[in-house]
Amino acid sequence: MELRPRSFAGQLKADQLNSLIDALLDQGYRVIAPVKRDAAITLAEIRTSESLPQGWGDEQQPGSFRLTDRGDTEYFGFAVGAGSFKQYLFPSRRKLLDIDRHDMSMTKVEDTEKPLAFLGARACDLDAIAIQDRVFMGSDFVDPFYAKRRNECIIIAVNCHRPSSTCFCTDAGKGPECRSGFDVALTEVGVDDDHRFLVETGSEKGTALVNNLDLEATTEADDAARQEIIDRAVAAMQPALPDTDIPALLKAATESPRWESIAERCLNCANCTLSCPTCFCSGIEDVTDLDGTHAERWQTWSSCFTMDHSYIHGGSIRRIGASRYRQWLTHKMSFWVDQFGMSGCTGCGRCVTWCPVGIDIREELRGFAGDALEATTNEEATA
Amino acid sequence: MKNKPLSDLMVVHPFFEGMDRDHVDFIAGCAQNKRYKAGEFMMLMGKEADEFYLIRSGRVAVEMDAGNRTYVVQTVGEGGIIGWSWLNPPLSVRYDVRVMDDVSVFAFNAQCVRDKCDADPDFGFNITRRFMKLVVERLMATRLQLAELYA
Amino acid sequence: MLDTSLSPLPPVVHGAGDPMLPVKTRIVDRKQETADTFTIELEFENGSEFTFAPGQFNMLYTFGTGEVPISISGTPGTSKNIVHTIRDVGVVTSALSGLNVGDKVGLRGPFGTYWPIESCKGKDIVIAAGGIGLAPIRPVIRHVMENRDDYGRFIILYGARTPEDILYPEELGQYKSNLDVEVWVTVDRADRSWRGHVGVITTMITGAGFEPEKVAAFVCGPEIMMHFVIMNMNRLGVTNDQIYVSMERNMQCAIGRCGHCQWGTEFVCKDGPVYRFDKVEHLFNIRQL
Repeated sequence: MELRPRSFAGQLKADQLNSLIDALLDQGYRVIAPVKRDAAITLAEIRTSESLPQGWGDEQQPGSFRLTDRGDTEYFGFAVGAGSFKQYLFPSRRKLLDIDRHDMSMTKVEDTEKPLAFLGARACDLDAIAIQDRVFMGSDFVDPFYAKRRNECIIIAVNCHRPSSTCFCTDAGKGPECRSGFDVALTEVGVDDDHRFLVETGSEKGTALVNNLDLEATTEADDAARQEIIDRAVAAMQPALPDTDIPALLKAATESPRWESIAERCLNCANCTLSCPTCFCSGIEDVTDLDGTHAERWQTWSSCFTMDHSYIHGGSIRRIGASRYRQWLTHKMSFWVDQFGMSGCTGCGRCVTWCPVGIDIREELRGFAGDALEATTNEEATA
Repeated sequence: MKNKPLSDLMVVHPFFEGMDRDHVDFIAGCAQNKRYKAGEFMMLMGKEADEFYLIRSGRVAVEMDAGNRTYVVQTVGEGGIIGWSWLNPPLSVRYDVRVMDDVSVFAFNAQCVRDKCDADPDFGFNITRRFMKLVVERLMATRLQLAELYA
Repeated sequence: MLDTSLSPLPPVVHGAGDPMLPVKTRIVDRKQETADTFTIELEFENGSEFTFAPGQFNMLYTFGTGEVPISISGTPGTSKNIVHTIRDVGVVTSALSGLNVGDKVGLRGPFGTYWPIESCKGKDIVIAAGGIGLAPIRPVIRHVMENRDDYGRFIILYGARTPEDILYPEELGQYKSNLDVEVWVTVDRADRSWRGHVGVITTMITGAGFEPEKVAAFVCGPEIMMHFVIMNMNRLGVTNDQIYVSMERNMQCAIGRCGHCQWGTEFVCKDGPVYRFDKVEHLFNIRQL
């Protein structure tokens, strides 16, 4: 791969990582980063670099996530965990309104949380945030809560070194290289000898942040070191999606018997929609207190896998599992393009890893492509 | 006479009771023996289909997909007919026909039967009259269902 | 996105700074229409006027129970008065049914695309409505009646379950009394006290006898009814680019964000609910989409 000259802001020694976190805390941010918890990697609020999963790796397969204890000092030596930064910009439960029965007076609930700092976002996370930006801020009706949190947040991305076997951002997304959408991007190099982070900035906000840090200069060799990380990550991912127009493929497959064969395995547990960093469906719940004088409107995550997702008086539109699975996958990879001008999938692989029965959308898409090819071949044969 | 065996089977089907053996042989030329498994759809609403069926064994449900509900309009079993609009093309299927219990049917190519009706009006009238009887029975049944007698 | 070319739209009224915030209205009139259907007229607390196009809907909020999408069924245009005909079928509509004059209702809207009646001038207008489907289409009827000279023949076809379920019977009677308006009402079943038609709406269409090229048809009712009406219209030579339908889906935000109203590529709340049928025919035929 051709070497592209980078402009690094500098390099940060690995043992100085806390200075970055301290700078964020000093500026009043809540720092969200990957942590090791409950035998997995998830996101949580941290205050020091000691909370990061240093030395831990992951092995991911369809339906399986296992932590591996490498025992080294690498801070970000894993792919992505169960949750995504989505839950901070678009919380799973959020109160919208307080309403009083008297006069039906309504009080909007304001967001009082501190601005967010996302540390350790991967290229697929950046991709997902850009996709959700389009959903929540890119139409006639901007979601003011999302817009506020999004505009206030700062993103410190990390270039992946160890994609998992369920990652396919080279196919579906724009990764694994962090190219845009970050304020600061880090590449972790020299773990064994000269452990440091190569620092790039992507915005004024990012430049302002790193100006507070004690960065050393980088050398030409650092360009190559960064490139090597990215090349290795690319090489670690095999092409997994069929080489075809996937949006058109799925639109043509609405009556395919393959949906039923997937539905026979699918539990409708909604894990895929919960772990997916771009799924945006929500529902509104109204609750009152016991004496009925006060009510609240809450917004919660919804999933198209529930029976009531498509309910209208008399029944639901998608009454069988096959139609609900078809909705999810076809929306994600096909209808989303018509709606938002981009695919809804980043190739992060979470839906594959966290599906309890191991349904792998890459395999299923290859299956649909195979069916289509077979159908065309048969047509030609009988023509 | 390769259709004779099929014609032998057809002659004992209630639809052909009392029909001239010649006419049964005539129409057997348009027929095939087919089987469908439970859960399969024999016909789908909106699709082009130029076949109609006589059920030899098993049971099907005639359904309408109404957006957020599936209405089972009627179940049809042994001796019943599925598909009446073949007589007057162009036809697109009005209902979904879902197999409830594995069925074995005589499947008739409608164009073939229409051609035979045109070629032999006597045969054509006989077939049409038999169909009319079934259609009228079905209509009466539907009206009774509509009257919500048990409400 | 499917270009349904129905724009521009009236401004959406909602609470300050957030399209999910309702604005307070007060019920100024209530009328029971049939056993399970009622009409309420709303006015904003602050007295402001409201503009909507025919076919659009509002999200109506009742304290503690929630919101529901209801078509606006008054005369289209700008007025202080906002009219909704509602069928009591669920939790929120039941709560609305229990409200009285003076009670408060939250409102956001108007949302959605509209029946393009203004761009159908000179055409023969055919309205085919079933059940509660007459409510979203009444604004079109009123518009045509107020601008009668702009249109050719005016045919209203309406089907209800029983005579007791017929919506707006006096208003339909008034329209029928006009020599240049054709009104056909049918019911699924009746007793002898009903001397009108008994049968399905599709059978009335064959009796209507129009010149297909001049027709603009607006169809509103249960999906299966729309399916059969369109089939019959096609048989009479009316093509799908002359036919408009209104779709119903689960709606919770009405702004194309909660995702519940999706129908293939469409967010029915903002890309619909009114569609020119040829643009969505391919979606219509897919089961459980």
